[in-house]
Amino acid sequence: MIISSEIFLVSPQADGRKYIIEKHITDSGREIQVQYLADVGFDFEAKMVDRVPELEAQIAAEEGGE
Amino acid sequence: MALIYVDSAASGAANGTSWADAYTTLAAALATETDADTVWLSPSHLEATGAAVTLTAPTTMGCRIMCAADNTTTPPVAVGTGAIVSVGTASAAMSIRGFAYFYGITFRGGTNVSVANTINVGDGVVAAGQVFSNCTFELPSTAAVALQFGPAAQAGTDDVFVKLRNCTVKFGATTQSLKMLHAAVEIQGLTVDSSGSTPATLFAGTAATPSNILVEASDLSGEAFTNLVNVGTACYSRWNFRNCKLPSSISVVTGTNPGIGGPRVFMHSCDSADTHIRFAEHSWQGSVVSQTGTLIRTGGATQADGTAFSFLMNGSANSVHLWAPLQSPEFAVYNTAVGSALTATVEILRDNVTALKDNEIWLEVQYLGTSGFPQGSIINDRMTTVMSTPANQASSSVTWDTTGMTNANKQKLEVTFTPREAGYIIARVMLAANTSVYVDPYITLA
Repeated sequence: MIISSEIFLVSPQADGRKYIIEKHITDSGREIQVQYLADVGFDFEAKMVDRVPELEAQIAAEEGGE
Repeated sequence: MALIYVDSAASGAANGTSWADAYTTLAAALATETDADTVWLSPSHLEATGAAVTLTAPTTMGCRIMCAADNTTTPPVAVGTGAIVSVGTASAAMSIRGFAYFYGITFRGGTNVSVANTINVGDGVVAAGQVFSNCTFELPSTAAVALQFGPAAQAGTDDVFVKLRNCTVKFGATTQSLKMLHAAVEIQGLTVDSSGSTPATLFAGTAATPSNILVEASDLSGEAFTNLVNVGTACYSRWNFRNCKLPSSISVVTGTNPGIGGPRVFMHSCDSADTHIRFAEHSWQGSVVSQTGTLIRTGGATQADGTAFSFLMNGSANSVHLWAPLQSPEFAVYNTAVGSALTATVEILRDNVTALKDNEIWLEVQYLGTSGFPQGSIINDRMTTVMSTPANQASSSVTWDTTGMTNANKQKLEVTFTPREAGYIIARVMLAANTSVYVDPYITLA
């Protein structure tokens, strides 16, 4: 389970896009980074929140031996 | 030179000697004609076996399996498209084995909702070499199946090669992907059919099956997938993406990289926008990506088109060991001055009041330090041994764009050495800290 999430880095690019790094910490202390180049106007804060259940499902799948 | 014909509509002797007497399935043709070297499929061929399909091509290179432009000309004089080889309504896999060149054929997996409905190219327990040109691979099942490359049973030999040239892939569910298993794979001109489902992740590896994958000159934007490669598989794999069109705002990698021997992903000149220098390199330790516009050094590195850029190195909880740092891509300068000491300097920038130490970041330079031979010498400005006392890397006064930073901290990395031969001086920056650093990939020699 993810217990904390933060936007760790927002790095603006020449064309207005932003390189985003999210850091998520699990209850076992594991750090998960998600990185992407966000389009202009992309709501990366909302995306980070939306991503949490996806990551939790992914963690469950990995722990299940997928 | 044997010519064999396949047409599902033929009603003759089914011996493959003509269009009228064609085999009605490709599997039957290959099973009977084990030394086949040219197999022609009618462009209207449509087989749906309702069971597993195993296509076993010869065991040496030379066989051609092609869709003909028409099913009237004998022998055919032109290739075409339209032939469909399908599992049909079944919970069964399609397996393509042996050595062959395929042209213009649609390979369609089973339609049942079943994880059995994979399509396995380069399959089998012997070596395989397959080249698919202008073919289509369809996964109509809504189950979490894959187009797999390499021996599905993971019991094959190591020499499996698969190439896709100007092929199309169509997915039936968000959970599907292109999956690599123990193969060397080259993909050129791939198109993702926008009429299919959108996979969450386009490519994935498989545990215990090392693979080497090149994807280039492809339009991957047909479906707005979220992730390019799932690296959460316990095996080494090397992924190279070059000159590809991507959907916007994707993550290059997803999943938990299993360790230092896990997947490595290299993406160069791939983007959803009209840029030409975007790159990203991902490993267990972290990532290095291109940075343009802001957070670059004045007078620093530029691409061939004049675009100034820097490396954004992103460490992680894994990049904290002196002996296993995150490595930047190499950058180089040609040197002709030999026999006297040179100092190579590389500038870095971080948004943190605390300076980075020489056990956290350093410059590694390889130069030709042996007279009479092309033998490289390697030098760095790292803390000497793991038992040494770390010291701050030197501060710097060069000019950087520091947009958005609150504690812009400029430092420089330096090594001094004496080249003994003219040649390239190759530099890499090593990061052994869980932090982000901008690096100007420009070597100043003095």
